[in-house]
Amino acid sequence: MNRKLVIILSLAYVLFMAILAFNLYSTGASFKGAVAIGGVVCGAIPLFLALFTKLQFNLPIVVSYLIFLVGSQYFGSIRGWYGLGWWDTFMHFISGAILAFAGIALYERLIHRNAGDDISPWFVFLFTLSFAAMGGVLWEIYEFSSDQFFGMTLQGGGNKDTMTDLIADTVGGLAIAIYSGIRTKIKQSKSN
Amino acid sequence: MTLEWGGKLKHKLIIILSILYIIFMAVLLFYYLHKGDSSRWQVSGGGILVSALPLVLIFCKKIPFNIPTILGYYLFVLCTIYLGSIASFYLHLKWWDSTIHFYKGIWVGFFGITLYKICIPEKVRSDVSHWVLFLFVLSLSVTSSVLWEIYEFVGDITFTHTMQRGGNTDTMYDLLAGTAGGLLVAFYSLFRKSKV
Repeated sequence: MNRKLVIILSLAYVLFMAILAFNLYSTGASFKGAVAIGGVVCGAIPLFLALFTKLQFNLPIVVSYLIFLVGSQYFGSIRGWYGLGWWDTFMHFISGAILAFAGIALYERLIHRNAGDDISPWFVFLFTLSFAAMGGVLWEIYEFSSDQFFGMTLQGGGNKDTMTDLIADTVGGLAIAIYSGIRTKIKQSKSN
Repeated sequence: MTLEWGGKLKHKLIIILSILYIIFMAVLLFYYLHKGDSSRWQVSGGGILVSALPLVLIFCKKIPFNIPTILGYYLFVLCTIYLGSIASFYLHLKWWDSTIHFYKGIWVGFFGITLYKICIPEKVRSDVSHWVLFLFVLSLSVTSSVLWEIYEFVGDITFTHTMQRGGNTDTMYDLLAGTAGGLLVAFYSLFRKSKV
């Protein structure tokens, strides 16, 4: 069931972006067209994983990944909402939350089920929060090195921009980390 | 027997070092207050607080942190509060800031290993993949860098205006140095997992 939903959703995104790329190139908007091609590639990742691997999918992650793609690629770059100023910060907030969800899923896969009851909720909280914050830092490092090595201007907004991004990532992660900590606490008090 | 002695040793160590540091910072506080050096007396005041912080551990029956971690904390306070801010190493030595960040990345990494041991009881530790330890140590260390930069950023907006003067490049080098320190300890913890 999950697999079918993943296939349908990511296929819809890939098709949408492919049509968009075609239209944009034919009207001469080649930069936005390139973004749309990027959208096809990003949307194809979960599609291929669903079609050709036996990976177990975590639906919230795939759905929020696609929402993030729509937000950053379609609304942010193609519709130009990144020019609004607050959109970039908002997307960082969302990506912090998505990373936190990914952190939880990863954590649950890396521990045996029976161990979960004995691990402090604070650990879950800290793990989730810092996983999201680390994702934000890696993103900024990627932007910084692209600027340094390839002369791009991804961090053109300077220190204030970088810091606002990091704060938004951390706050997004914090929200989900608090949720996951409380959820663990409730789960444990039920099983005891 | 040895464990108990070890516990008491840590208590004594913390009490002695904290009191020495508090006296030292208080002397600096009054000296700079007298001189009217507002930035330095404020830093000394903050120094008193961070020197007193480990005293909270005295109330623990058994202090979970090992002696290198405890000594590492006091070394950090010395390097950042006294040498860095008061003796102006941050201003005069370009490499000081990044080096402190690298060191802090390592220290928080070891702090993370201790937290891991506190939060995950020994009997279930074998059910936890060592990648959890690796990721936890690394990301906790990176997060400490982020929180530190946020503190500097907010401080600059409100009253200091100097901490992130180096701009984006400085912030990024700090983050890279902190991440490198954390990565080092994360790999260390990966190979030492059997003993952790």
